[in-house]
Amino acid sequence: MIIETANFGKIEVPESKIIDFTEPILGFEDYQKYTIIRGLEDEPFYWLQSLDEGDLAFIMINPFQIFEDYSFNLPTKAKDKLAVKEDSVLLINTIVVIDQDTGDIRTNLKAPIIINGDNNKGAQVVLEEDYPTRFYLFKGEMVVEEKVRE
Amino acid sequence: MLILTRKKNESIIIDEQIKVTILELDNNRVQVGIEAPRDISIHREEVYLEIQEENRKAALARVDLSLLKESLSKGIEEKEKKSQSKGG
Repeated sequence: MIIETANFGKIEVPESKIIDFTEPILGFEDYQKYTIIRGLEDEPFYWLQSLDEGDLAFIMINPFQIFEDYSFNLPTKAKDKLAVKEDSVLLINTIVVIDQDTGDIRTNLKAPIIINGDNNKGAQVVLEEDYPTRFYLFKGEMVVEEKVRE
Repeated sequence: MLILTRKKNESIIIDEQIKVTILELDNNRVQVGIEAPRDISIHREEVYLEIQEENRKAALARVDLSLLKESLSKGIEEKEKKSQSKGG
């Protein structure tokens, strides 16, 4: 399918790259189809682009890059929604927030975005484990200072 | 909304599989015990609200990811410099 996006202009997404969210991103229940867009370089951040709404995109990160010991039990409900089998390959991502007011960069470890590579089903899963919704990658004052200097 | 009155140690059964028990009453706080099958997810409401809020903030992002990476590493350098000068 072809879609006009705010960040990337017009893009064509092959059927095989369409991720179907069987458990929605909370607060975005109307949007179900997404795709992942990565930069050319080996960047830590990448995009989760909505295919229902071109203006809607989330930045994601591989949480294990920033927090090696991240681990959890996938709740039964999520397993069902993602049709997870024993040998399924799951892609674990977390959503990144760049707070426009403070310049903070943080990620939500409590509710990762999990994609089943077998069937391209996706879900935002609220974990039972006690992880923060705001795990700071970076506290804002540095970025703000940089901006002021420039 | 269905409203039921319960005393301490009394319960409510939902759909014959979820049992909610009032365990403790104390001033403005109520301790609630919940027994439910493993596939029922139970969280405080704030958790959902926080996640929704973070998601909404995340959706506002309009940045070049390579610049983001740059500012992240720049920030880390600055931080290191600062802590070094503070230390010395």
